[in-house]
Amino acid sequence: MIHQDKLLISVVIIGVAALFVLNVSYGDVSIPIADQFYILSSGKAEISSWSYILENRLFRSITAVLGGGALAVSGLILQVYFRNPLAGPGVLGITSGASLGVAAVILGGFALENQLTGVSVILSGVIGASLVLFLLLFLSRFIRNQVTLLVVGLMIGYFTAAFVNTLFLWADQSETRAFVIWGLGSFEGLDKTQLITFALLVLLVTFISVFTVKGLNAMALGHEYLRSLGIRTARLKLLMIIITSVLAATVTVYCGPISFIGIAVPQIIRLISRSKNHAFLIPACFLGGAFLGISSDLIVRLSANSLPLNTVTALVGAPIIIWTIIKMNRQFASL
Amino acid sequence: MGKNNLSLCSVFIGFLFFSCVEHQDKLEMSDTSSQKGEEVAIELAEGFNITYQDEFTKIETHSLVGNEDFQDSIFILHRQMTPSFTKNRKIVPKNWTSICCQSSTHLAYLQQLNQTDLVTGLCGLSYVTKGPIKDQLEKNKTAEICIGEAAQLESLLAQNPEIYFTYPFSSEQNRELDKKGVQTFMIAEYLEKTPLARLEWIKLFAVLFQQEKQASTYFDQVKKEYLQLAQEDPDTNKKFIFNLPFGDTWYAPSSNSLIVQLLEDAGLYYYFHDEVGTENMAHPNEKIWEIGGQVSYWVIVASRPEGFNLADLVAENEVYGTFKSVIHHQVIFCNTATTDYFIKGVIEPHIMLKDLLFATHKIREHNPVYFRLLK
Repeated sequence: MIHQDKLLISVVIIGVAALFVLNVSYGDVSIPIADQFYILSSGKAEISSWSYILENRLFRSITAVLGGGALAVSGLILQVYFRNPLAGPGVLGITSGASLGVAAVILGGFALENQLTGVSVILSGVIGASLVLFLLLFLSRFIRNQVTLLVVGLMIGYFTAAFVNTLFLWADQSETRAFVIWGLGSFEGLDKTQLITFALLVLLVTFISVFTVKGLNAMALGHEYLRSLGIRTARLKLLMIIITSVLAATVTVYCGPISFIGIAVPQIIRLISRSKNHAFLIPACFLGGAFLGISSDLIVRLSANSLPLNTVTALVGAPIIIWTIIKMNRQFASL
Repeated sequence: MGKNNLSLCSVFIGFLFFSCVEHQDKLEMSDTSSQKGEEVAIELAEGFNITYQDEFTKIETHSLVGNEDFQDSIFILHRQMTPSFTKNRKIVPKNWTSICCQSSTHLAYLQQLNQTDLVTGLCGLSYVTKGPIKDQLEKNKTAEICIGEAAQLESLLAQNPEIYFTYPFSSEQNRELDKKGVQTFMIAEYLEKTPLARLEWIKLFAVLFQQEKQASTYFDQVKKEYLQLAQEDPDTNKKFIFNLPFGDTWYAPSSNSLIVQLLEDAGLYYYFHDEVGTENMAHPNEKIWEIGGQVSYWVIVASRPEGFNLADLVAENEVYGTFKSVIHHQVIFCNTATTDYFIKGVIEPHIMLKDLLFATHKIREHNPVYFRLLK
């Protein structure tokens, strides 16, 4: 790792830590710092609601860090896989697939009726995301142009959205309310059990992604090079599909469909570091995603929740994507 | 462009030209004159006026101070009028055959006047709870006429309604519908400042169906009972918060909203008593969580499964367990999934008030209909 990359990682870690502390300590209810330490160490509070308020801030901060990180890693792997800097879980319709899975459970009327709701929602979200990704991979056999593949991804997104809309119109009022809230996207609202499940899934799958480093480095240089190294392409691709689907679906299920982080963060990291080594890029993207996630959540809270999370991520992410398209256009023009 | 293409274009333009159909106002063809009914006096409602003339009765609805401006009027003719008078005026028929409603709230007034059999189209049909109104709508084969809250022109036209009662906030669409032969009339009873004023809109509906006496009797009876029960001043020791959060935000009604008026008439004191406005106020969840620890009552109007209880409420968010109202079992709940809160509740404010007084132990004998203490 070169000096510049070490510096980048250090700065991002400090930034994430500072924003994390700020996100936990700041809020509409003013809790003295001494009380915050006391509550976090002993769990007891002078005013009983304070411990819940602080716990809520802590949980949403952890969710923002892990959720942002997961989306960024998912986006990085997809960009290598499709050899397209515009690939990301949102653009390729993977998030929409997860949304369809969630909609089938919430709007299908099972949300409040059994203890397995959490598991069924996660499973249906992962299945929805995986199905879209498999469909995209199947179609990619017939499509050579990168941009065309993205358009196909967008169309799949519209297609699944149509199913979601139909389910929405058929559902009753309480179900649509739950789905609308989920659809706004938020890092808030996970309870302890959900947070543990969420954290375990994200951390485990992100850790597994480290095993794809060699393959990702080779794939970035082209499929021929990948084969020449004797890497089992089929197994690597399957692993990449599972990693990206589970990461994107987990975040979508628990936090709602969150756009732009998956595409924007790998672009920013590549812009700053210019490293091609995924042993660096994966943790760097995770930290970059965590930074964007927690800073977006802080902006949402500073606005007294008047700005939805997706609005904040779009304000940051959309200009980066436009810049990427312009850059791609220049590259094509120079060929 | 080739000759064939030019010919096709000509045929298409010709088709468009000739397809501009001359629309005929259906009310021009029917006899619209009806006898002048008993005049009704408006006591509390501020959102509508009734003007009586020898030739016609004019009903006008309008915005109140602070709301988006709107005005609408409709005429009941008592003798045949000249075309110059009827042109560009909304005239209601003598014999009603079909009515469409944008809000299920309108059904409450119609039911009290025994006119629900006229309802052939409704927005949000699936949201009507089981009961006599739902049964009547099924008997009528009432059609769903909206997607979301937007009326679908063809669905509306298929019902051929003599009137379509609408909200005022879709006034642009209403103008378009009027042009296309669907006679709309804006109803804004929810903008009234008190539950009794809202109830008084029954008189407006009564004039349309010549049931003035029945409506006035019902209004007077409910008003008398309500005023007998209403507490003079809210008790500052009985503070309450209202509702549940929507995502990260807790939307609280302004203190001059109808529901807050009802609750303050029951002697409860709204925590945000001084926050007046025309919109709901948005508060961050954590602010309400802190307030929840201080206030005695928590009033919730929400859709939940039958048998919903305090434990279920706390299961939704553990922090509710720290609320004073939860600890002291003083959560007053109205389940919109199992009660007729949004429809019949509009014309039964006295029963709602009685429910609230019973929940706050002001009266001892009562069988709650809408609001009850969560156990």
